[in-house]
Amino acid sequence: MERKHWLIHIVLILGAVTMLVPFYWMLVTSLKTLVESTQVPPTLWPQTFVWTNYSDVWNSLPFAAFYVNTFGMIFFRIIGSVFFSATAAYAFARLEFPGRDMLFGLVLVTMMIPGQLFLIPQYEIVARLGQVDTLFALVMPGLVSAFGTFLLRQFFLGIPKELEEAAILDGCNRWQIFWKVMLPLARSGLVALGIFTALFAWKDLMWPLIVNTSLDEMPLASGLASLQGQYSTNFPQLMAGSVIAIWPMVVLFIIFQKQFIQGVAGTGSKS
Amino acid sequence: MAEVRLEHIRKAYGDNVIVKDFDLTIRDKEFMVFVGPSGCGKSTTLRMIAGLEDITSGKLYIGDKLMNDVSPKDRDIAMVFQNYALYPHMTVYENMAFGLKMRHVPKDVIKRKVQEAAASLQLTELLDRKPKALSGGQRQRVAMGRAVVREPSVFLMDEPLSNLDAKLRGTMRTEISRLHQRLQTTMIYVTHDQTEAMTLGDRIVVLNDGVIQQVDTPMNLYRHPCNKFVAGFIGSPSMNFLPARIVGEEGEVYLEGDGFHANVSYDMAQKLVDVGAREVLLGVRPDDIHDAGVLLADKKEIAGQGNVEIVEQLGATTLLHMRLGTQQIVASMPGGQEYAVGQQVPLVFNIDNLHVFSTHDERNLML
Repeated sequence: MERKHWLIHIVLILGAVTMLVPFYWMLVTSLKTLVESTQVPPTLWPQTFVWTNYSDVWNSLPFAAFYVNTFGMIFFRIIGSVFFSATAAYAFARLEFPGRDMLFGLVLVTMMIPGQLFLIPQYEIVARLGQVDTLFALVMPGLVSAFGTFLLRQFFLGIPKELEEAAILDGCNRWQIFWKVMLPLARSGLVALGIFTALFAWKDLMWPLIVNTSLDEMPLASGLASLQGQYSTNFPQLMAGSVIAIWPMVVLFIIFQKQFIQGVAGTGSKS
Repeated sequence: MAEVRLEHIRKAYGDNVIVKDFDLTIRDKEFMVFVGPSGCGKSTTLRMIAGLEDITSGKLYIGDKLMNDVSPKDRDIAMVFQNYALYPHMTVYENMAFGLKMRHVPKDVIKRKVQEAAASLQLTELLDRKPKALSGGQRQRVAMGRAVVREPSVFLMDEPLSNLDAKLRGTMRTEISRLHQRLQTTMIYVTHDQTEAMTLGDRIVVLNDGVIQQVDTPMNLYRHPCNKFVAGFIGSPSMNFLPARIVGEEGEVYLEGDGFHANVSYDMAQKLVDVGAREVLLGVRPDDIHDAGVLLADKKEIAGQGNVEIVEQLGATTLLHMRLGTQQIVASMPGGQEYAVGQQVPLVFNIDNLHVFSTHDERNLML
């Protein structure tokens, strides 16, 4: 028993170290000189701390705009995907209309197609709307979510039908049932979807890189990627930029740790 | 306050007919119970009255108003669900107030009504709690409170006690009776439990396979069941049914079957003579079977010898599961008597309470 216990701990510690090493490397590299950062063998601790890496990268890129764009993108994507997914999921879970199951099947099919296939049509749409290089362009593909529709439909299916019937007898119309009874009960599902949406938006690189080419319209991910072009391989500055970019997500994780883990572990119970 | 009238109500899902020609008038202030086995259509009928199911054909009136196409919220009804259907995200107060809030009742009126209802159902202390912090009995009372505050003209209850344990069920039964006496509102109550039906109902509708078998007061159902189904469903333990032959002519008629020989009352003899068939089904309730050994001498007309197989002592009564000829019967004896497995008991039937059913359509031949 005792031995098995230790074995599990060793495996877990190894896992934790594997996850932490890149973070450590990012922090340490962000404080090295350019020469030291590419030195072989690499150093585990900076010989001199170059704090100016941070001020240099901050001054060389419009980080304020990156933050605004990123938060704007996350905010509107959350609002959009939660709203549209919840309404669609409720319809698929509870309303009866011809072709419902087939339509839901089509929604699921979109989850099975690689996302890269959507890039060209999405760009076409944004371009024809004249919205290239805008916040709208960043938000648009994340407004609806097949995954969110699927996730929330499962939540709504788990809510007893009698609650809806009780609400009907209490005098609610469809919208009131949805708004006052179903939505509050699917709260943990909504939070999980919100977190997922934020996470995906945060790390979405390819789409912002394609659709918004001017620096002031970029979110953090693609803005940082532009560092590589500007300074060829100035790793310390790139890592300093990464640290600047990453902390809001770390704070968010610390606040919503429980929901993050619940969401990833499969949405949790509905009671 | 309102009368509820169901005129030839029918419910079908495609070819599957759930409720057939349901014709019934529930009087104002009456406590009407729908009882029957699972799938007999009792809940479906209740849900049609509530407006949660469409009526395939027929007419439903609440008061004088045709309700077929009226939306549930405008029918002036309140319903208590089997699983209570309390909103988990609202407190007890909010649960009870929700229906009034949706009807734009002024806040102070809502507050007064909820507090009154809470006081009468002993919920005052619990108003700030969420449903998950309540026991089964408390949730049940909240569900009733939610219906009470609405002051509807008809209460609908769909097996409201079936999720409670036996003791609590007894307590809640009397609370519901009291509630009905106090509110003087029409109540329609669905259950599969004949004890609940007998104790609560002013009248009972016995349903089977979507067809009304009989509508009557509890005692009339018990004493004069119209057919074998009602006779077997009402009363606990169930009535014993024994295949029998009518033997003899006018004046000297008796029933004879495997292991027994039953004399009949004069009235019954008259009726039996008129029955064309000779093969019938004799129905005897467990409490109408007596031990000849403990009866007075002049009543000793022994019907047969029962061979005791199982003894169930309930305290006030003892149930004897016996073999009479080749048939299983149950008899209810006074609790004081001692019986042993394997014992032969000379049995007497109470001839005033015998029932005779037709073997081909199972109707009561004595009515």
